[in-house]
Amino acid sequence: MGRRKKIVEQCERLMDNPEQIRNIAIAAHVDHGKTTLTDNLLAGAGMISEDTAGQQLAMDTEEDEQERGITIDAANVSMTHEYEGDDHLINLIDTPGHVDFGGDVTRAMRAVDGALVVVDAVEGAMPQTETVVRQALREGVKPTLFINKVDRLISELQEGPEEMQERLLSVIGDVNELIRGMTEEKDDIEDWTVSVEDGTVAFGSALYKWGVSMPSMQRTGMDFGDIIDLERSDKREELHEQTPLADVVLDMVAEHFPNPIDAQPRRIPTVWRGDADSEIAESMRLVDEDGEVVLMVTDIGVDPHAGEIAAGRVFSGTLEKGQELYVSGTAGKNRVQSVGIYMGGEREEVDEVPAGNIAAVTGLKDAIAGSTVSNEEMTPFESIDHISEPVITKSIEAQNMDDLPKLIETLRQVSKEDPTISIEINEDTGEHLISGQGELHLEVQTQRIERNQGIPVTTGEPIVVYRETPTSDSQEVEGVSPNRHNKFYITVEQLSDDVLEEIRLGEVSMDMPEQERREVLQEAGMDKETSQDVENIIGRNIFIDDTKGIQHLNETMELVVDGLTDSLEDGPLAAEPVEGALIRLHDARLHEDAIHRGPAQVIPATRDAVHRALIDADIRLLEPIQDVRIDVPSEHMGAASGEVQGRRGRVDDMYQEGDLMVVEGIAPVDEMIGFSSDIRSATEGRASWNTENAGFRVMADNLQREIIMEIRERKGMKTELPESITHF
Amino acid sequence: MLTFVGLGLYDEASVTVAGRDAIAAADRVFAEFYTSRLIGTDVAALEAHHDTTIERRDRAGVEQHPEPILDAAADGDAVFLTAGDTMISTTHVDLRMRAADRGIDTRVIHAPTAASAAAGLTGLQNYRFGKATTLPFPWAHGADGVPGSVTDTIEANRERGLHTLVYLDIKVDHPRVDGDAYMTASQAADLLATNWDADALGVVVARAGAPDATVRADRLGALADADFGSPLHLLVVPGSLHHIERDALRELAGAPADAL
Repeated sequence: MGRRKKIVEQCERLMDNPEQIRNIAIAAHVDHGKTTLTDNLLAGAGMISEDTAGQQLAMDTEEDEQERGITIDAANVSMTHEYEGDDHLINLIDTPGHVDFGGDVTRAMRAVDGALVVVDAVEGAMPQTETVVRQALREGVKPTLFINKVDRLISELQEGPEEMQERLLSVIGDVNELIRGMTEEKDDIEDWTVSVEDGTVAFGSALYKWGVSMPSMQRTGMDFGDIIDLERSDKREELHEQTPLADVVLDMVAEHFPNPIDAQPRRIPTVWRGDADSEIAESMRLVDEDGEVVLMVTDIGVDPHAGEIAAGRVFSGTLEKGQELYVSGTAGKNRVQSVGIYMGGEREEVDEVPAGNIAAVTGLKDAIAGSTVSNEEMTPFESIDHISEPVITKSIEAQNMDDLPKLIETLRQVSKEDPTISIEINEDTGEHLISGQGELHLEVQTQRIERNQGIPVTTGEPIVVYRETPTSDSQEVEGVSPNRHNKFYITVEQLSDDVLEEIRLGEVSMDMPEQERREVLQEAGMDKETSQDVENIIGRNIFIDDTKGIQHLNETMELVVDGLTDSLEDGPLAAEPVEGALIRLHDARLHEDAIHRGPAQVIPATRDAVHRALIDADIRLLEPIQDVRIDVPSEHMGAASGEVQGRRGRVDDMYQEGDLMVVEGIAPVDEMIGFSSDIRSATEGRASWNTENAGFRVMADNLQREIIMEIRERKGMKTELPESITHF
Repeated sequence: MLTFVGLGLYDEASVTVAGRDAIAAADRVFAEFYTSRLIGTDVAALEAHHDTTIERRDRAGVEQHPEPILDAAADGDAVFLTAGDTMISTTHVDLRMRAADRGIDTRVIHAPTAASAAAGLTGLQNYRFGKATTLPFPWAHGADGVPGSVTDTIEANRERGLHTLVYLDIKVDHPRVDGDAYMTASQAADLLATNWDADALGVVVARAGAPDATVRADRLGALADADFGSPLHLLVVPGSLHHIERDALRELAGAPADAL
């Protein structure tokens, strides 16, 4: 029997014992060594050869991942580990660290109960570290910490024991500060800060495959002094044999991460809003393998042979081939064609996957990342909204007309697999739009279309996604229908930042119970009466119906909302989406007869009125901005800060960290296109940098007209603004 | 001068003599057929009949951009044609007021319209009609099935013993339909039978003004299964019946005794 087969059988045996299962994710800032660590764990579990661990990057299965040396997709793997005499089944997801692929991290967190946060000892906690810790804690996932690249402190930086200790404690302190900030207000979480004494922190070198923790030191007798000696004298092989990284980390995983039985009762109320007293809730809390089947899909992948594969966490019941399951948000049922678990990049089919595990399923053709799949209709899980939104768009066209249908299908597939990608199909022009998190994100996705699907495509220059927002409150505006028999009286006000933030985070929506929605809005500062009159939430705008007892308005309301939706999707300045508007309907006069107040009358009346009210409310263009952090040797600091300032950016802070200078600031995404090559040449390639999308900002008045005209021209709109626009 | 001329109910012969003379005397002739049309003829036949050129305006060309009509009326004699009467049901009073605003003289030449035919053909007395209403196609309004305002109107009329004239939806050049769509009386009866009351009495008037005009009275449920031939149709939901009305429905509309 092959070794691999043996492991699969071992996994299958353990799958039925939730106490022995740990579902974990490895998450970190880009280049802090997640994937190398994952290889170590795989080698330790006998899944890949010891010799190649560290170079093989078994999890980076896509060609482009190996080329770029970064992880792009979250990848799944299962392995076994013996701890204190018991075998444990460890289901692990390796996640991308680059900020452009943050959506994958968010989705992975839904499937796991523990997050192994990896931090580079030299660089310390970085912006992306903060983001992943935040993502984990928001999902109720418990963190532990592995500080990687300690070998560099010893060999490269020649640090002594005291300096090293100081540096490591400061990394731990930074991570704990994040954890405390996020968990303070959660009463269901005891102290989740990590510490060396508790054994929730480990150190080591994923490259040289050694690691230590307090429990390992007690067991092996190896202390920091011994490690420094061996590392300095280049006896890394010995170090690895005496205190192998995989054992240290996997012991920590088995000891400190909750098993599904401990985790699910706490996590279910955070991620699922259904009836807590229902049978299905009980079955999920108990991880009942005999209960109703509930699978939360966190990832959709494509296998050249098996087709589309849905991966996700089984919260209840047992998945088997042949089951007919409901997929949330779609009608009818899908039939499970096969079930399996992951081993490295490969899927192993098994007979069944019980509650508490991460499963790979084929046949769920309607599922997308985020779907709830179950054998009886149920309240779906909270949507896994990744908080950052598309900021860059590119047009994409097939070079050969014959490829057009295939391209459309592929684009739809891409957006199904990666919900942070959004697609706009235009069948008339054949020029489709693909929007994502950043230049790299779009570049990777378009290359994959060319390479994996063999469709030659032409892509346009990257374009930034803009928005429009009111910057004051309007006077009452009258909207008149074309037949002049219907009139609507509306105003536009600015939504408060707090309310807008709640909408942005998905904390308030029309899907939630009315009472709950009112409470969230009131807590965010909306007055009570207004919060009671919310008629709809349209994009990131709220529509308030302030009218009382107008005959026939109820059967016209849907059309009013249609008109509002039209006007808010295409704002009056440049047909970019409007956000942050509170639209209030004060009064309406309607024709007696339904036919004279149909869509052709009501939609234009309300659409026009909203646009005029928005203009009266001093609507302005918003542009996306990014936080920028550059680490650079001091001699290049001037050039680096110049690169930020020269891009309409602002440098907020410059300080020394170790032997490098750090430049922190913000700049518009539009100006950051092409930043990589410019900063490289400006600093002779000595800078490392990180950018993170930081929301939208009102553009300076002296640029408004110029940019609006550029967008209008690009969209083939008239290049003149309504005369009533005089506020910039 | 802007003269509003009703073309009557069915074909080029339905117009009044006064209307015909006004068309003959006009410098420009405009028309709209988006609210209703003459089923028994078309624009070319009308043009031939009146020996003139008809400029057809769409909805936007009347409601949003009426300037060409008004300019022609300011400079000379213009007529504006619609099927039926120009001021009943589809009211073009807005266009008339815009003309008045510009100091243009206006006049109205009436013609038979669905409302008079409904009373005329069914024998239901025009004194005893309440508010009228239009039944839209289910996809064309903002609610499901039948809009509440339609059934509310019928019920409010019936409480006072009054009949309800139900106009049936017409969609001309609508993006949702190929060609033109006319709701049939059986579709209307079916909608009301399903969403309101299948046992209530209904009276169908098909092709009013045409040589083969048809009238049928029965329960809505039964009317839903019948076929009344080509358009246009309309439906009346009677309130209480005067004895002459009852006799008329039996004699002229074939109402079964148990439905009255």
